Amino acid sequence: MAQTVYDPPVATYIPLQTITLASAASSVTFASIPQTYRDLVLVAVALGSTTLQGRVRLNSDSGSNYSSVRMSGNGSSPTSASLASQTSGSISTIATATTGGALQVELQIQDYSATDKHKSMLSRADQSATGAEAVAVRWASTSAVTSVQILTSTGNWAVGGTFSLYGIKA
Amino acid sequence: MIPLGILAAAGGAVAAADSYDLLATEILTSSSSSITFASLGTYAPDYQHLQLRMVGRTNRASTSDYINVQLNGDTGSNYAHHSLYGNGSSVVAGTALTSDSKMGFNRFSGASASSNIFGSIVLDLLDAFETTKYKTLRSLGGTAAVSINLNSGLWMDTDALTSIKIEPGSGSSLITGSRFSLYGIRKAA
Repeated sequence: MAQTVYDPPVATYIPLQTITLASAASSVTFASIPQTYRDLVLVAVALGSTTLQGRVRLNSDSGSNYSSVRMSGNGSSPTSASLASQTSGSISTIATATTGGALQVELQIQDYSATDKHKSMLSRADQSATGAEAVAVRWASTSAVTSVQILTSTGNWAVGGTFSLYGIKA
Repeated sequence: MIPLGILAAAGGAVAAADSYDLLATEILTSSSSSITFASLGTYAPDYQHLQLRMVGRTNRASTSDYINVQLNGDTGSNYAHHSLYGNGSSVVAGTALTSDSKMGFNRFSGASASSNIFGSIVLDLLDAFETTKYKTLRSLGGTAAVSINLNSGLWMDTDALTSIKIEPGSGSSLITGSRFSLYGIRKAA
């Protein structure tokens, strides 16, 4: 139960990769993620080729192993809903637009390299025309995360969308 | 890098290299009634903000629990805190407490949750060492089976931060595997 104090402190929040779409794509994948960090943070800023929502899939697992609970506000009323046994995790039900303000998602993937717990994720999503949202997501697997895929619910992420992945030590 | 909300507000701006530092980590190898990050005053010259990244579970006989946070060992009624959360059916403004002896933040898993399920919280402590203002905290946290939560906290004291104590809200123990990591966001040069 010892606490480790880092002296000197350790610089972290390390940029691992940024993907900028040169062509429209229905998914973006960060593969071969190093296991030398404890948490991952993914920042996505993207328009859609059509109205779409954001999803996450870890280690290419397309089984019904994802659940989530969200709350969101759309300018008129707040709503909350939960999803169970999904084939991908919902990180944004706020639909991105095809023009104007892009969908912004900041996704925290906690303890991704640990093998003693299911993976919990926290998402904050915003799109200026449609609303703001927060989501807790669980991937029911104790496997270490080696790949992260950001999917669309339908259609493609538009050209120019950026997806950046950071690693945080602990 | 940047505290959670600041990053969100900045639309994904990236701070300069070496601006976000790991200061300390505790991963529980046995249950504990609380954990404390102490001697934080040593960080005052170099850091503006702190961030706690936590993945946890308590022994509360429920699917979830919250955590209580106290600063500098202050057990007086010097804290205020609020919450907003979604529970899968509605969005709820939690009870506002304006003179509490601790601040509550959500949400860890509890003993009734299926094995291997932990909740997570990312908690920002802003201007942690400034002596001209009360200390403000905010968090995003949740567990997918229960709720997603936004919390805010206020410690009504201008003292620079020296310690952070974390304990279960309703349970009596933080359980094995729970992880608490403290980070510093550097001051501008």
